Amino acid sequence: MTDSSALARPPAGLRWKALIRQREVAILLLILIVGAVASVLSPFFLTWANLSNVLIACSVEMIVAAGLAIVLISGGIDLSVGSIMGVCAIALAIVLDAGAPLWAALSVCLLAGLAFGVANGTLIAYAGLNPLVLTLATMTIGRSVVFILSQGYSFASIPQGFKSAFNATPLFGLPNLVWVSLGVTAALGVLLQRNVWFRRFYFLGGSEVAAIRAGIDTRRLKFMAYVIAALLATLAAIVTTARLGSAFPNTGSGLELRVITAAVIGGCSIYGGKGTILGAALGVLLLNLINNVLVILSLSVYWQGVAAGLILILAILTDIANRRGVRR
Amino acid sequence: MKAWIAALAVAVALPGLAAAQEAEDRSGQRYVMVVPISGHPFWVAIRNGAQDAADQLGVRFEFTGPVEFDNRAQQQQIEQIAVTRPAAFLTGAFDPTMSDTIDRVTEMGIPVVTFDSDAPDSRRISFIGPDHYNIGWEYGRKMVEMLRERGLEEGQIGLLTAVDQTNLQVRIRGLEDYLAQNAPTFEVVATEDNRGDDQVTADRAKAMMTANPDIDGLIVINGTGSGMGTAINELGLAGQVTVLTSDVFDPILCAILDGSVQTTSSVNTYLEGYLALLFAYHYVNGHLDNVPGADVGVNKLPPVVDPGLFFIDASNAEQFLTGSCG
Repeated sequence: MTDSSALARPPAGLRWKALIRQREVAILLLILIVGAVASVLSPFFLTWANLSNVLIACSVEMIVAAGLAIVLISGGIDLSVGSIMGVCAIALAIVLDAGAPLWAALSVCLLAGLAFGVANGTLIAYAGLNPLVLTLATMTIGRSVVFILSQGYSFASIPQGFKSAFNATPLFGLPNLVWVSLGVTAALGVLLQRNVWFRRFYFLGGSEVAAIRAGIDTRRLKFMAYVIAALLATLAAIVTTARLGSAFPNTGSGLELRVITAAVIGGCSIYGGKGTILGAALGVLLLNLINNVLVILSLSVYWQGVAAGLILILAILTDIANRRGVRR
Repeated sequence: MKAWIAALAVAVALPGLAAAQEAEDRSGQRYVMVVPISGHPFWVAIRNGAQDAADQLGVRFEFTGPVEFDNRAQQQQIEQIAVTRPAAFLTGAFDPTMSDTIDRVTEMGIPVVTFDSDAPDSRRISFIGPDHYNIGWEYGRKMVEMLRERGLEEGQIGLLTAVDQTNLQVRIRGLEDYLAQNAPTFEVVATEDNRGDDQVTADRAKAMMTANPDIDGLIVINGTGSGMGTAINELGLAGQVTVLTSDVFDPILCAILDGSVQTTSSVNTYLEGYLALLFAYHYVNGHLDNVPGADVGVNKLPPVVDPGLFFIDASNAEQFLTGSCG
């Protein structure tokens, strides 16, 4: 007599191998290894105060990474998210500085982000422009807009109530901005895995021709990917401004490359069709954890780049090893 | 002080000297300021000073530079703009390789005035800016003074800086020399790179304080002090750790007023921009050709002008606010 459950499921050893070969699990293991080594080397690492510092440091990049993951999965790329953050942060602060109510400032901020998303989406999806070149252009335009609006000044007239809304610590000593970040990441992660409309981003990134043949409006889907990424960059700008209580002309500067790196480490393919929000979030967590550990261990600033680079190479090597394992 | 008085004398005398020679229209003359990170609010006062000087003299002033901190891009922009033949360059030399760039454009006939950070080995015609070693020395003196006011006779100090900026390394050397020579019981126990970003300053300062819970004082060597204010507030350590930061922007002043930062240093940066353009203008237009010995290489301008350093604290921070603190 045959055991039907044994037929349905592979042996436990194979299940483990399959699990470990998932990119998210591999990155999670790497995070745990880095954490374990750090907690042996420093008594300060495994404290709630330090771990909450890491989560706070991750929060803004996680929000942006969720949007970029969708763009990458759909087969595109968006280099303008950092500049969009800058424009939205400065727009929010300038309107508040002028004495306008918070709702008006948030509306202007949202419209600014939406305008960039619509521009990116329209020019890429409907005019057929190359996303790398187009978003490089809107990145440059966005940063110029920041300087035009701010004239190089930074702004600090952010209402206390707005700052408190994001910095209050209602649960486990973590500020609301962490919960907002985790909530957005979790919600989009679930939608991308379970919702039919969001699943279409995978079809689009995997094969645009196949997606068209399947009756998917690929142009509209591409357009929406850039709009979602821009709106999440807008949210990141709001969170950053509330946390720092200020907006600077260099807000979000250089963020796009850090977040793309994190998303790719987390399993998003720059060729599209692959990746998850969870993977991108774990990539952000790994990069921030490395930064934190190097500071906690008081490693010389001149050596931190070497150490961080080596850990990133290790992350890439685990991915290559996993893929070879899958082919075998 | 001597350099300061000399600069003032030159600044006062030069416009009068020039007045007699203003018949010629110089509205087409372009004076270009190139900085290594154009988006940072640090340049606002310098840019305003240069713009005011340009308006008074009736010449054109342009401000440019890479968006993110990039010494190499700054140098490339100078060399590219040189092809368009501006009257003079005004620039800060934050990297030793800037000397070569300055010498190359000088050979093309375009004089260079440096401000804020010098390239003393180059052929720049004058430098208007602080002695960064002295700034670091003053940071050490001020921090020790504040810690002693708290009743401490020994203490640990943490530093946040941008490691790729030579002028900031010079400040740190001055600070460490002050401590070694005058207050050896106070020591620097940690130094971290903040990449010139307030959010990075906040995150790394928190990690630094977690790993070094006995830190008594923190010094932000560059203009990201409001990020330090965020770190102090998030850790609930306002008033328990003494914080000294650099530069004067509203977010830093607001951090002083809310008690998370105790003091910030200020160089008179408006004067840096104003004098840099004024000096370049008079040099370019030959107003100083009668300086005795100028034809055999005697300096037509003071080689170094120090615009002075002062500290702002809660007692006077409001006077420097350009907006409000929300």
